[in-house]
Amino acid sequence: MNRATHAAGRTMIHVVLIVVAFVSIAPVAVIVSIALKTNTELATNPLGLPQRWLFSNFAEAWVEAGIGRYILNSIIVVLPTLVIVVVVASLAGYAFALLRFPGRDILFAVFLIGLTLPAVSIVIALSFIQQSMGLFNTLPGLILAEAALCIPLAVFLMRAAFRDLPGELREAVLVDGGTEVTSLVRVMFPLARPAVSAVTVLTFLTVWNDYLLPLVLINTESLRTIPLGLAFLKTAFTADVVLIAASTTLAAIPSIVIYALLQRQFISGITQGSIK
Amino acid sequence: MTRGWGRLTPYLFILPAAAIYGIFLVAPLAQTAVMSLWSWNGLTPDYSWVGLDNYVRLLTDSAVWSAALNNLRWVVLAVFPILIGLGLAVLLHQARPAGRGVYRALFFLPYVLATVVVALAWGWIYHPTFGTLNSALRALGLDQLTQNWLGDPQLALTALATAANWTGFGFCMTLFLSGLNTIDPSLYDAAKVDGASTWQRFRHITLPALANTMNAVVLIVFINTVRVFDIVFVLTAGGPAGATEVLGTKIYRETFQNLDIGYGSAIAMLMALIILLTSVVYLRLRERDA
Amino acid sequence: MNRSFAAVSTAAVVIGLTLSGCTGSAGQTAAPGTDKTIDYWGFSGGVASTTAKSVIAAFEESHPGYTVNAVTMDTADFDVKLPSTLGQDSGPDLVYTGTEPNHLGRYVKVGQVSSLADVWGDRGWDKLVPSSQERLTYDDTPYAVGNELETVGLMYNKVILDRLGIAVPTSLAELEQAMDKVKAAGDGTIPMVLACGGPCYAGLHMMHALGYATIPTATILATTPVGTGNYTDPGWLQMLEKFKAWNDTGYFTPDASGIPDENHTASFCTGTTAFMVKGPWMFAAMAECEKENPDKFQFGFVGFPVNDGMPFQAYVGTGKAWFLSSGLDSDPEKRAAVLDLVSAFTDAATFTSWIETDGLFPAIEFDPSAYKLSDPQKAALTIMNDAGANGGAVDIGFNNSAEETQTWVAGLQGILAGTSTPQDLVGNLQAQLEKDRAAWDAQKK
Repeated sequence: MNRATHAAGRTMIHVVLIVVAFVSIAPVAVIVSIALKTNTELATNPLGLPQRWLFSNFAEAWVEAGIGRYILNSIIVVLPTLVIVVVVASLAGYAFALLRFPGRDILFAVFLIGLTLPAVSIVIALSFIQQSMGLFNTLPGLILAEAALCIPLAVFLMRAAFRDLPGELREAVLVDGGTEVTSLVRVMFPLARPAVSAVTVLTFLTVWNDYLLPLVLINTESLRTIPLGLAFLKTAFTADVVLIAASTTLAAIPSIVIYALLQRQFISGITQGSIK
Repeated sequence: MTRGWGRLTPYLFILPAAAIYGIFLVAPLAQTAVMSLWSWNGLTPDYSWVGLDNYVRLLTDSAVWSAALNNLRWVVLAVFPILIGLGLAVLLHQARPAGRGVYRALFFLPYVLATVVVALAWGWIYHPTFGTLNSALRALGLDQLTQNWLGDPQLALTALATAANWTGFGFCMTLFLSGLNTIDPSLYDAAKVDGASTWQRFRHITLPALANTMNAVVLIVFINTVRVFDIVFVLTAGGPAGATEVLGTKIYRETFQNLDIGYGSAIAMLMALIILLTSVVYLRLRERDA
Repeated sequence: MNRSFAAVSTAAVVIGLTLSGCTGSAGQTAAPGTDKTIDYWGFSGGVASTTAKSVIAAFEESHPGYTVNAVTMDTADFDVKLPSTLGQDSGPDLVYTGTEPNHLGRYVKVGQVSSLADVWGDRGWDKLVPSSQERLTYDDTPYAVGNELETVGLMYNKVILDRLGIAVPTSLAELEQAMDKVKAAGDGTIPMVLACGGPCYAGLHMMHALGYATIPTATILATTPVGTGNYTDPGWLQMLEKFKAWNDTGYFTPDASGIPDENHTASFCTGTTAFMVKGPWMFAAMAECEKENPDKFQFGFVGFPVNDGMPFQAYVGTGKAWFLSSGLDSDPEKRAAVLDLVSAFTDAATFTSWIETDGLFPAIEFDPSAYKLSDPQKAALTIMNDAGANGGAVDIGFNNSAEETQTWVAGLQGILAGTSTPQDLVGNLQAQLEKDRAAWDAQKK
C-alpha cells in the first residue's frame, strides 16, 4: 500500500469517525438549541441556531419546573443505594465464591433469575408489598426497591471477581487466626477494586435514569426524581416546548458532568461488568 | 473460636442481599405469578379464580402476538448497534487514529442519558413539520424524502428502534474494545508475515478471540430489547394504531389502564419466561461451541 | 483504609436513609378519629390553582388539627397509583379527577367511592347544573361534586382571518369554505391544527366538535353503558367519513398522526394555523400566547358550527369532580371534615377567584353579569347557553372504558395514516361497546 492510498485511507477513517461523533452529539445539541430559542422561533426556524441565546430560559426552567428538587432527590436516592448494593453484594459474592455450604449453587441460581427480569412485570405487586410495609411513597422505600433491582448483577460481578483472586490469600488470613470477615474486609475487597468500580457505575446508571419504579412508588411532588419530574413536565407545560427543552437540558447536565469527570471509571466499569 | 458461627457464616453473609432481593424482587415476582391465575381489577377484594384462562386468552389475543412481533422486529434492528459497535471498535483499535480517546468518550455519551431525555430529544428530531430531520432534508432539497417518522405505522417502530440503537452502539463498541485489548498483538504480526489479508486476520484472529465478548453483547442487547418500555411509552404510547406496541407497553396498558391485573400479570410472566428461556438456550449453545 | 471506608459508608447510608426519611412521608395506619391528615390527590386545577390553594389554607385555619396533604397528579400518575391504593391507608381520601365513566365511573363500579346521597341536598349540591348531576349519578345515587364546567368550541386566529378576509363561520359548510380559503392562500398556513400522536387528545376533542356538529345529541347520549344506542346507528359512520375527508382534503396539519400532543398548541400560538378545537381550559395559555406574539396571534372563540338544519348543540360537560374514598365511611368525623373541604371549594364566595383568576367555571349556576369575564369566557358562556337543552355531557371518546378510548385513538390514527377506514373504527367501537355493556351488567348483579 503506497503513501497516497495510506493517507486517503486515514482520511476516510477520520471522516467516518467525525460523522459518527456528529450523530452521537446531534440529538443533545438539538435539545440545547431549542432551549435557547423562543417558541415562535422554533416554529419558524427549526433548523438554525438560535437568534438570541436565551440563557434566561434555563433560569426560568430552574424556578418554574423545580429541577433543583428533582436533582436533589435523585442524589438522595442514588447514594445510599450504591452503598447498600456494594456492601451486600460483596458479602454475598464472597460467600458464593469462596465458601462451601449446602445449597450454594441453588441459591446463586435464584439470584440469577433477577438478571433477566423486566421491572414492569413486578411493579404493581411491589407497590402492594411496599404499601403493606408502610414504605410506599417514601424515599427509603424507593432506595430499597432500586437496590433489589441492582443486587443480582452486583452479586454476579463480585462473585466473579472474588473467584478470580487466589484462594491462598483467604487461607493465609484464616491460618493467622482471622475470621472470614477479616479476610473479606482486609484482603479480598481491596483487591476487587475493578469489580467494585463496575458495580458502582452500573448501579449508578440504572438508578439515576430509572423511570418506571419511581413512577409507581412515588406520588409526592417533592419526592420526584429526575426522570419522573421530566415526564411530568411534559404534561404540565404543553404549549411551552422551549421550557420543556430547557428543563431537559438542566436535568441531563448532572449525568453528563459525572460522566465527563469519571469517564475512565465508567468505561472500565461497564467493560468489566458485562464481559463477566 | 469461630467454630460455632462457622457453619452459619456463609448464610449470614448472604442474608442481607437475600433479604432485600427476596422482599423487593422475588416476592413481587411470586405475587405476579399468583395474580396471573386470577381475574382482578386491583381495586376491590373481588377476585375470581380463573386458573390458566389468562394464559389461554393471551395465546389467542392478536394484540399480544402483534406486540411480541414488534419486539421481534426490534431485536432484528438491534443487530445494527452490535455491528456498528464492532466496526468502530476494530477501527479505533487497529487503525489507532489521532484523538481516539475523545471519539471513544463521545460515542459512549448517549448511553449515559436518561431514556426520558433521549425520548424527548428524538421526539423533536422526528417532528414531521419542524423537526430537525425533515427540516434538514428540506434544506438539502430532498423534500420527497421527508416522512411522518413517528406517525406512519410502517416507519414508527423503526424510528423508535433507531433512537434506542443510538444509545446502544457506544455501549457495544466499548465492550468490543476491551475484548480487542486482550488480543495478543504478536498474533497479528505473525499472520501478516504469513501473508494473511486484513479480512483473513479479522476472521481468524479477531472474531474467535471476541467470542466471549460477543456472547455478552448479544445477550445484554437482547434482554434490553425485549424489556423495552420507557422510550415507547414516552414517545408514542404504543401508537400509531398499535404499530409500536411492545410487550412492555401492553403489560402497562392491561394492568394500569384497563385494570385487568390478572391478564397484565400473565403477559408479564410470559415476557419473563421468554427472556429466561432464550438466555439459557443461548448460553448453553455457545458453551457447547467454545 | 478499611476502617475508614467502613465508617464512611455506614455514615453515608445512615445519613442517606435519615434524609430520605425526613423528606418522605409514609402512609400512616391510624384508628378512626385520630388521623387528621386529609390526603388529597388531584389534577392541577383543583390542587395548584390560586383558588385551590387559598381554599385549602382557609380550611386548615377553620379546622384546627386537620392538615391537607395535596398532591398534583396527571393522567399517568392516576393510572398507576389509584388502582392499587384507593381504599388503602396509603391511598387518597379525596380525589379531583375526570368525570367520565372511564375515570370516575369505574371506581364507582367497584364500590370505592363514598355515596353522597346523605349530604347532597344539605350541602346545596343539588344546585349543580343538571347535566353535571346526571353525569355524576350512578344508579340514582350521586357520587361526586362537579367543577370546571366546560365546552369545546372553535378557536380562531383573528390575525389570519383578517388577513385573508374570512368571516367567522356560522355553519359547518361555512367552516369548510373558510378552510378552503386558507388553503387557497397558499402561504403554508394550515387550516385546522390536529395532533394525534401518543394519546391523541386533540383527535378526541375533534370528535367532540364534529360529533355534536353532525350527530343528534340523543344518538350520542345513547352510546353509554346504560343507553340503548349503537355505534352502528346512522350518524357515526358519516361523522368519521367527514373526518377522513377533511384530512384527505388537507384541512388538518399534515402527518397529524406523528405529531405529539404537546407540540400542536405551539403551532396555533405562533400563527401558523388558522383554527383549533379546544375549550376554556386553554384560555390562560392562549392569553400568554397573545402576549408573546401580538402581531401574529389574536385569538377568538366561538361555538363550533353545526350542520345546516340542525339546532345548535355542543358538548357541555363537567371537566372534573371531587369524590371521596369509600374508606372514609368508617370515620364519620373525618368524612364530615373532607365534605367541608369540598363545600369550601364549591362555595359561591370562591366563584370570583375560580372565574376571574383561574379561568375555570364552577358547575353551579352563577350570574355572569356579576363577574369580570374576558371575551373568550363570554363566548364560552354563550355557547353553553345556546346549546342549552341540546347540549350533551358526553365527551366522545372518553365514554365508557379505557379500552374504548384506546379503540378511538387507534382508529383515528389509522384513518389519518391511511391504514384503516371509518368503517373499521365503527365496527371496533361497536364490539367494544357490547363488551363494556356486558361488563357493566355483570357488575350490577
